Amino acid sequence: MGGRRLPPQLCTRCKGYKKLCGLTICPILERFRTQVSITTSMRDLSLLDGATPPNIIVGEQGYPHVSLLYGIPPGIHGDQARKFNDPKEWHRRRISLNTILRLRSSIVSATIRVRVDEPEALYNKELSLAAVSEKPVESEASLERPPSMKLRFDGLLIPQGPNAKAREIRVSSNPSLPRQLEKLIWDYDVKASDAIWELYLTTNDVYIATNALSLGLLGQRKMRRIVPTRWAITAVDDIVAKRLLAKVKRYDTINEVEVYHASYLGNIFTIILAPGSFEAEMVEIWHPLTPWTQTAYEPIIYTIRETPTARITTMDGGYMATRLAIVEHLYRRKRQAKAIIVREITRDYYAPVGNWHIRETSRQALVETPTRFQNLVDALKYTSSLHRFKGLPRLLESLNLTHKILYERSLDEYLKR
Amino acid sequence: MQLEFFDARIWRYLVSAISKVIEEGVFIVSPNEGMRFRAMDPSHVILLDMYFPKDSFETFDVGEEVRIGINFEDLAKVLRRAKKEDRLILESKDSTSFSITFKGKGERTFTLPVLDIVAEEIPEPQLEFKASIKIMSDIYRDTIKDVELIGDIVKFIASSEEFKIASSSEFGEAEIIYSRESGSIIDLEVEDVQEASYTLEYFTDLSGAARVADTITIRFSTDMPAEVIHEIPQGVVFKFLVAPRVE
Repeated sequence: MGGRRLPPQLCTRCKGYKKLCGLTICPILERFRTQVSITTSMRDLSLLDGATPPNIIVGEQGYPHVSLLYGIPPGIHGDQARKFNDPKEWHRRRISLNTILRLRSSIVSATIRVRVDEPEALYNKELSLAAVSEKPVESEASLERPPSMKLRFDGLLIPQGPNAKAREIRVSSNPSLPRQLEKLIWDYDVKASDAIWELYLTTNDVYIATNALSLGLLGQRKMRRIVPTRWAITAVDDIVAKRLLAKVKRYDTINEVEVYHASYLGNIFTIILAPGSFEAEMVEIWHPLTPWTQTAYEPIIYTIRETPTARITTMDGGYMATRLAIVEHLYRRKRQAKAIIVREITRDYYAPVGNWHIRETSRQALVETPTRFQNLVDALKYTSSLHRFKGLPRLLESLNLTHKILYERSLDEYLKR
Repeated sequence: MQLEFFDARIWRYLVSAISKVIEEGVFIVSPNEGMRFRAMDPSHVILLDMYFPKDSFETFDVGEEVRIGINFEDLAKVLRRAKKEDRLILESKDSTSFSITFKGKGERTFTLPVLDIVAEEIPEPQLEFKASIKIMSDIYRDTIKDVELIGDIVKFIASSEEFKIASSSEFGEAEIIYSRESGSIIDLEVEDVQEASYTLEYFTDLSGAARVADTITIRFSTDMPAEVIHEIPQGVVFKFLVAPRVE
């Protein structure tokens, strides 16, 4: 690094994803990678045998020649494998960051190179079907060399354990697919976005749709591509939220200000819903000593704004995840609202584990009973009391959406009826 | 009912601008007056008003009042196919569908469903504006683009000598001044000094409509709504009224 100090403002916006610093490898993620070294329970280092939970990731480096990481916890079979990649369950049981890192570091990935425009090759070996299975799938991989004992991090993805190039990967039990998905795989006329929507409605979540999109199982025959997993995550969050929003924007507005709150993995979330047509602003407060603010002396603030006409200031996987949770909530209660989201990241979030926790913690916050207020000012005061950051009252006041809610008049005042 | 208009591009830019603010609405075509569309956004911050007088059409074959429920996004998609020399024919034979025909090198017809929606009754605003500024439409569009760089709120300040548009945010400040001497103002009538702030987004979303306007007139008063009137060839008028932000 030669003494170069990366501004943490840049890192919180980038999260190792956009390479805003101009370096080809994120030095922060790289440092994590070497800090967490691990040992494996593999006895024969050239043969990987176990059940994939499933856990199959498509990388993005070298696009359109990308790597596929086929994750198997060595020696773990059947349902026992599920817990190694089960974000919803981790969240439900409030599994600690430590445990998540331990689970993830014991998954070994067999990697192969694939061309993004050849999804059939993966399909024929059933590798892509394993990725969308509802149950763990028995698998076997012969490795070219012993796995490197490192844990790999990424702002959007679940950390990946040791990996090694595979000579071959074999699927030895039958993947079990949702029936709707089986139908969609054979449907060469349906557009990928329509297929994602259908899958979301039948599986009631985004995770299977994300994997199906990523492995090139959806869409019109000639348009099918293998999609890097982190692109697929945000694409599916966005496609589903947009469809829900089209309906939500026709609903009546809520009539009080509601404050929802939850925290997990050192991330404190507050979601404020206020009367009015849908739009949103999210503010992230990164305390010093989180993954992206190692060199910061004071909290770094980062905001993302979505206007009523759905213009979003920056594409951010974290915002897309919380936005999905909020739109799902509004859709369920057939109401619309304006949303101010506060995400405070404390130093307890010492390693990034992917954006699933943002989606799940936001969802959890929104099923709890909200604290209700007659006006936004009181709701903002209450919100500040739920957080650690001392500057929050001023920060909330300065938000664009706050200003708009407080000061924008309605034409009704001027139109005589 | 059949209407023929000389330039399909005017429809294209107006409908495309409207579609950014409002999802659906009702075109009312009356035998005596022409075609009118009025609607407010869901949060009642902006009122759109588009009027095509009877005489602006080359063919105006209307027996009795016709109401056409429009999905603006769908209509905008079709109108995006309008070419430079195309005329536009709007036709409605029954209450379930209407058609758009581009008449140019050939005749291209698109049929769309009529939405079953009711036009919201919106009273005429009774407002007195103490400032009125008329400028060329390209200057207006440039100005909106300039302030867009900076902030989300646009501030109008008008005196008898000049019209100032300003915006500020943590990102910086923008200030655009048009004085009588600069020659860019066609008309300026202001009582004292008038000053008001508005959400810039509406101006940005609707700025596409200015492409087909000759001149733009902005009317407002201190801490009161602003009206932006687009004067378009053939007596066509597109205007919007936007509520202020008052601290």
